[in-house]
Amino acid sequence: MSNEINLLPFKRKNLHRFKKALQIVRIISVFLLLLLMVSSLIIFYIKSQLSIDSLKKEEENVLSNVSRMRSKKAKLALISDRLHSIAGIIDRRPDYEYRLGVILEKTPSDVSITELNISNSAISFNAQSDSLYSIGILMDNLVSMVAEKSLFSKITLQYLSIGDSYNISITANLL
Amino acid sequence: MKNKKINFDQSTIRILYYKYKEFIIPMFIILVCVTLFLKVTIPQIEDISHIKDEEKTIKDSINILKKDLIFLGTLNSENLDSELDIASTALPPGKDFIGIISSISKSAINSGVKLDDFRFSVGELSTASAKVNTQPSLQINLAIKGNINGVKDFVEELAKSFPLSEITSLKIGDSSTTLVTVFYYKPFPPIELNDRAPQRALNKKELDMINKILSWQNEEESTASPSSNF
Repeated sequence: MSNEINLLPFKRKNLHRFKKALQIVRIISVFLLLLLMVSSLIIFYIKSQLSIDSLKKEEENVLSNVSRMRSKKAKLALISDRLHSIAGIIDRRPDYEYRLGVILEKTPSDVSITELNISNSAISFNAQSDSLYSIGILMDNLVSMVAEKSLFSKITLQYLSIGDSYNISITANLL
Repeated sequence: MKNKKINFDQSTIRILYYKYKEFIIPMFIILVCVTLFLKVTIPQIEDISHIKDEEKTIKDSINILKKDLIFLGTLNSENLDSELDIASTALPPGKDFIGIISSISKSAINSGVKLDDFRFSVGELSTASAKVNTQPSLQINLAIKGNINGVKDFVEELAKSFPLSEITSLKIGDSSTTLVTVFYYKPFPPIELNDRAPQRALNKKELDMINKILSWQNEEESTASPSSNF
């Protein structure tokens, strides 16, 4: 007895469906095969076009040329660092010349400054004059500076003495 | 109800094989294609994407390096040395005693005051600002003789002379004026160079600062006289 006897007889309708399914599977398999081939070819082509090695070589060449100019880069960095520090010092150091100038400007000509101390937070000075009026002008000038919030935040008259001449001692707090 | 049992014995497998044997090759091809697509093609596509990214990065890097190369090529070494000299005169890398004495002397000459004496306090960080900024400085106590206008001129001259200095206190008395000054210096810092980092030129603020230093130097040289006032 033969072993290859089909014991599950096909109906005609089923046979037709079977053949159709087989055809679809074959079409799909061929399509996928073609798709795989085409996509592989495209990928191969694209990869061959991407010349990353030559770019890397070019980068190395340019980099070695830049490396030869390291001394210039270092000098630029040093100049920049130094200028940054210089700007910092100039910006933050107190302007003593301006403070002295303001005191001299506000002092009438017949008033002489006998002693003057300037620190980072205050200016104190002693002034002398034969004219009480001029001493008054000096006081007025300083008080108006406090009102205008120009240089000083507070003025304190330490003393006013009357002898051969008029002497005053003033302490001004800097803004 | 009758239980339906499926019996996969050899004859059943054989029957199924003969029935569906035409499907085996196409199904195998589909399986292989799908597997290859998932395991080979998709990673290759991703790889291309990475390569393109890398290519873009390298191209950008090359562009930056080429720009740097052109920029560095246009820089004149002598100009750079000169600018570094100018900056180092203003803020020397070490304790420039000669520069300090010269600066004090020139300021005194130009302002018409007489220098009494001065004392160095080596290595002291004297001002609050100096401490905050860890800027090394050299403190010098100065005594000068002159009227208040002369003192003002001296302070002005000193502010514009180099090495850079800062007055921390000023006392004008009957006979003389005492000033506490600090002269700044700054050792050259270790420079870590990155060849790939884009190189920038000196900005406007930095160029203005060089010009300011130069103008102060020129002012000082034009007003200085060869005689000493000690």
